[in-house]
Amino acid sequence: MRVTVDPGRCDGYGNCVMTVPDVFDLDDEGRAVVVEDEVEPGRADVLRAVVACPYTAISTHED
Amino acid sequence: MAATTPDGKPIEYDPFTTALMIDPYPVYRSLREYAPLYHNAERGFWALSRYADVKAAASDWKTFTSEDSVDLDRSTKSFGEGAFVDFSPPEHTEIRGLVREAFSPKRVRALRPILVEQAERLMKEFVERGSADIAWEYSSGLPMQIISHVIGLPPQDVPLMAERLKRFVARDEADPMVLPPDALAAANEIRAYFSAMADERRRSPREDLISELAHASLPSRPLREAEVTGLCFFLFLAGVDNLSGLITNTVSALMEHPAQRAEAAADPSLVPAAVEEAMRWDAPLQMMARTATRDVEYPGGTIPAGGRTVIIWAAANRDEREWPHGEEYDIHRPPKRQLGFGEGIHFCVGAPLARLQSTVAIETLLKYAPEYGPAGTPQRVVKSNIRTWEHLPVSL
Repeated sequence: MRVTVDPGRCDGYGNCVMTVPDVFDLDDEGRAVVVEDEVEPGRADVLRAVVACPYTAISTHED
Repeated sequence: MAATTPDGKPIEYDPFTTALMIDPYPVYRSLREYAPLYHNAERGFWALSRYADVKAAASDWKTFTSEDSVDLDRSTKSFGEGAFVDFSPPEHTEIRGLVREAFSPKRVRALRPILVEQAERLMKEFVERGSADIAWEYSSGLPMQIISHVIGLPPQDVPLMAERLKRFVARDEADPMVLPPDALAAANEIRAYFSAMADERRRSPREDLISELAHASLPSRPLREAEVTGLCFFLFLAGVDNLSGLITNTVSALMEHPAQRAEAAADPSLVPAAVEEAMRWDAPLQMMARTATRDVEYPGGTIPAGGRTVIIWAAANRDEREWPHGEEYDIHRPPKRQLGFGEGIHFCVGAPLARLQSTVAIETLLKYAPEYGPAGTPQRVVKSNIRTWEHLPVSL
């Protein structure tokens, strides 16, 4: 499963970074970035981060 | 015309009644099914309860403004200036931006060791004693120490400020929509306290949030002293009251569901889901108010411009249109957006800290006392928008 963040939507709340620190981080400008873009399909903590994002900036794609 | 069920029973949603405080969920269900646009003429508000309606209203700050206070009793107006919960952009965006840094993941993560240490210390004490008032001593005590540490309150002031907060949220049963004189007095004392503290930090700054705010500027101008005070008041209250409710409601949900509790105790990686599900199933902040800025049409009627509108997060969170078996607590639910932290521009700024604190609190409780049970009579918080226990005695 591939994970992406839309930088135009992200406002740097960091809920994803708190939920899954090995997949998301914040860059120097405080926007979320994906540090591990291929994750196990259906990984529960990643899906929780997707729905926890206040700006729905995170997407997952099944390849 | 008053709302009724198909068999003619009146539907009454009045968040200021004891009946609703004891169990609001059957009323929420009736609202969703038969009165998705509800009007309480006596209290003078409309109410939305379906997930789609609540989410849409919360996402549209232009149509549903927070500026006339997000509490029906307008208690947020007592925070003073700077409390951006009632603001709209662009001012909201600027002030919130200042605070967001203080709750960034980096800062929040740095708090974890302190949190774990405090939670362990309290829990060891409780286990030795064999019992605890988990709501007051743990769920409130822990966030109180953490938010005090973040803002910069010296530990010796924490009990006094806890007492003041308690007085600020107390209401008279006879007239629950009005802040009683003692609540207003407590608000004055809290503001005076933070004002003196900000003044002191302006001269000799330390490593804390109030020092940062005392020296902060918005993009357009420096932050006013009254804004520093109001911000600290708001963050202090939100950081204690709403968060303690989340911890307590998770403790309570797991106590009612021992099989799921045993699973979470055996596998701590399930704890975040248990917290999230408690937020969905029994959100501590049940609802918030908005004010319509224009006429808004719904299939069942119209909210007129100026109409106070209650958006019931806790009703939306059990809407069966979105949540199969929505009335059940189930930590294995597939992840889905619940509205307990709000939605749109006013989404809880402290959510990362709240999730971390709740997770650590529950992990630690399950580590020391996986089979905690009820011990004595619990007592609910009496406040129209909050649903949690003020006292929840448990044996450990």
